[in-house]
Amino acid sequence: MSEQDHPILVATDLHKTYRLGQVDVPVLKGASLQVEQGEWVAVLGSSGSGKSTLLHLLGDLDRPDAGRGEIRFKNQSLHKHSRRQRNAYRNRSIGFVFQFYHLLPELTVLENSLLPTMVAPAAPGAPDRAEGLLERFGLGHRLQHRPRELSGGERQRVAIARALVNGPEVLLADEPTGNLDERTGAGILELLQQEHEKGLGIVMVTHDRRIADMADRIVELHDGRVENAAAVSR
Amino acid sequence: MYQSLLTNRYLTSRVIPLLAVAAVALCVALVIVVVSVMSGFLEQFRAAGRTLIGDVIVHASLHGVPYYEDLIDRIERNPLADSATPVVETWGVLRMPYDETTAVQIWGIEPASFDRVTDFADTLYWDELPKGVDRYLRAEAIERIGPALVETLTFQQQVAILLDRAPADSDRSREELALQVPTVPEKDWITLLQMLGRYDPEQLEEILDEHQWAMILEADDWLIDGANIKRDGLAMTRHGRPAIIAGMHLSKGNMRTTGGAYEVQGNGRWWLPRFDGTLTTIRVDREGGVSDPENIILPFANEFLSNVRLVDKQRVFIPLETAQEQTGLFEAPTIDGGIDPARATQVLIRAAEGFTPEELLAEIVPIYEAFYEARVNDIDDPETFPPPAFVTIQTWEEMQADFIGPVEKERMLMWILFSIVYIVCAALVLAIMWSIVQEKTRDIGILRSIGATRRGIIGIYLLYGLVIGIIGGVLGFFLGWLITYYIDDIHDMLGAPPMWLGIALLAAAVAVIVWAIIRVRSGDLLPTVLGTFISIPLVLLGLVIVWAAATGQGFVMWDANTYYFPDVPNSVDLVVAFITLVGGIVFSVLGAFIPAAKAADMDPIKALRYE
Ligand SMILES: Nc1ncnc2c1ncn2[C@@H]1O[C@H](COP(=O)(O)OP(=O)(O)OP(=O)(O)O)[C@@H](O)[C@H]1O
Ligand SMILES: [Mg+2]
Repeated sequence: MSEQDHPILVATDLHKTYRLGQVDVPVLKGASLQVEQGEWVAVLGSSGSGKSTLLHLLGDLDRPDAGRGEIRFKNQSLHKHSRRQRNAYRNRSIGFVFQFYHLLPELTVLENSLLPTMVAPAAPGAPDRAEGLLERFGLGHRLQHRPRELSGGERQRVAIARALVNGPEVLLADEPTGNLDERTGAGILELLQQEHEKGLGIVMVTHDRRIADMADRIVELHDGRVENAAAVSR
Repeated sequence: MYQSLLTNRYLTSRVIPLLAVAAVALCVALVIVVVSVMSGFLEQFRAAGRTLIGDVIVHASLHGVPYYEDLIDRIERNPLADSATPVVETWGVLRMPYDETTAVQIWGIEPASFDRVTDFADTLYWDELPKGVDRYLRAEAIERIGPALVETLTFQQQVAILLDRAPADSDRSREELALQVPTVPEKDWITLLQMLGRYDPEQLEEILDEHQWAMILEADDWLIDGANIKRDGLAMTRHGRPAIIAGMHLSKGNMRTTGGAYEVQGNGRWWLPRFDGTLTTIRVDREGGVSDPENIILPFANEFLSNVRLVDKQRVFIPLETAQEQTGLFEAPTIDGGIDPARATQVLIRAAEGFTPEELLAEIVPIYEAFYEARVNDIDDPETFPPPAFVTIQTWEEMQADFIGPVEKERMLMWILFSIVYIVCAALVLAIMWSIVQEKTRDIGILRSIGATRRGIIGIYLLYGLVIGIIGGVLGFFLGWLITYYIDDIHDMLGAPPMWLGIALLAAAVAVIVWAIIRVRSGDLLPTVLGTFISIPLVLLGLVIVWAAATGQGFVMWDANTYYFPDVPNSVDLVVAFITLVGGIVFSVLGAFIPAAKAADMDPIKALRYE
């Protein structure tokens, strides 16, 4: 792990409140989190504690309550981003892996993984990287298949390839193995581990203590706040 | 360009966009057919208002216009005028052959020039003898030449005639009949010949020699060639006498059929042109006094059909001179030895090719003024020369304002109805595209989450809507065009549905049922449901058509009796069709754009969560 002055991703005092009819449901109540460059952080928490919500905020797929909390990526505040910068952030700086894969059913495996290189000017070398990633993920022979023809684990690997294709600095993964059996899940984690070793920062949400143990650090989301759990030394 | 990739995939990997294309096509076709038929109908109706009156009408009541030939000359010298024709209009009572009287509007015309201005010849209805009429005409021809014909009969022929007319069960021999021949008076021979001519013309032709038969035909050349009816109609003569051309709906003998043709009642018996009619007019003299009614008996030479109900129901044409005589507008010597010229109450004018009635009207007004200035002093009593202020000069549209007014109102109403149809179709297309794209909200969320710009996403769906709109619109355009173009054939087919169509439908139903049964055995539910839903209407429709074809029943929607035009209008209103096509595209694009823009505006996670 490299020594770095600034953490790459810093969330400070995030509040997020959902409104259900007349009732405000506060989910995050001042959650703060720092992710160092190349660090793997696991976020634990019971169901409904707001893990996904936190991750969405970090990925700029959603925004915290107005004026209540700030997220800085490489020391730049996300909420000061222009639309273009926000698109570029989602496209290049981070990669997002959803629990339910979220692939486009009409596109092939290869096209899905290439999508981030198509919707915006591609990062150098990205198109080649896609095939390489799929190859390494064991999908080299399924490039032209549609997502519905794949198993859950294969789909998730396509989703990870898509998240990594533009070479992001941080991967935000929301229970990437939550829908998979243990062995398949382990395969996925293996891949993440490999990427992590090459310097990829990871924020991974999970319920599973054993999976969390693979991370450099585990935090726990409790009552809308992030609490440090025991740091794991590797 | 991931937009075109995605559009392409959306279009080719799902059924829904095909349904959308079909919906757009049907909507566009529907609007095109409805608008074209309705506006074609109104156009026909409006055009009917111009029938038999030309483009511009000079109207001088009571005294009429003297020296009208000169006025016509002056008008015809103007390059904007094609031709002009005089008319004497009056009212009268016509006694019909079946002893009924009816009030008629009488137009005295010069058929040749009247035809040049109004295409009168095209409105003459009869150009051949209707079915069953020849028997009556033959009997009448025999009556006309009776004595001359009887004179030529040989003794053998007379015996043959008696033999033929003798009752079948009579046991009188040929010899007995021969003895009777000298006792039969000439009058009875005529009657016997007439009866033969009417009920057994083949027998008559056999009994008579060629020369005698020719005598009969020559007595009425309508018997020689039906086309002579048209000729007589154009000349307005019958057996050399001036004759009446009556509106098709004056005679109760004419029954309009659903196809728009006419049948003569009583199997030809009540065919007006074989009779004479008595016209009674009341002459209003130049001082405005009323003299005794005048009767004139004239044969009918033909009938006309203008398709304007009011005209066809009450107008008769007679030769101009006859009308002038009846109305006192003929040329006459005056007490002080001068000559009072013949007059016409109207002059009808046709505009030259390429000029509008309005343009022509602007020319005619000064022509009449100049004509009045030049000729007013030629007449003994200048008081009877109508000055320009007393003469109405109008275009046909002004003249027919009462008739056209409702048509224009109808047109307004029609446009309102169209707008509703249009809005409904537009809303349908909009709703379909909307729901298709709405369903793609999650995809939009995915694309946004990996950094696609809003503009990029909207591009996908604009392209998507555009492609569906264009394919559907163009298909609909041609479908609508085809349906409109062949609407008369389709209508005829409905009027007499062909047996093969019914059988084909039944066969299709059987095929669907067989398919359903085969698939049902594999345990699927869908084929049963689909099979039932598809085969039931097929069977019903097929049975109805087979029944209709077998019994000769039809489905007549466009009854010419009601609509007055024999055909459903079938010209496609290209402007409307094009607007509709563009509308189909616009609403497809709009229907795709709005939900796409809405989804693209959301935070990605909202779009991803969208159910
Ligand atoms: N769009 C929303 N509207 C209303 N409530 C929401 C919305 N999204 C999340 N919530 C609520 O916020 C809370 C946190 O949701 P979140 O998905 O972040 O939980 P989580 O920790 O990821 O749970 P899980 O482990 O089950 O995935 C839940 O109570 C959820 O019902
Ligand atoms: Mg979650």
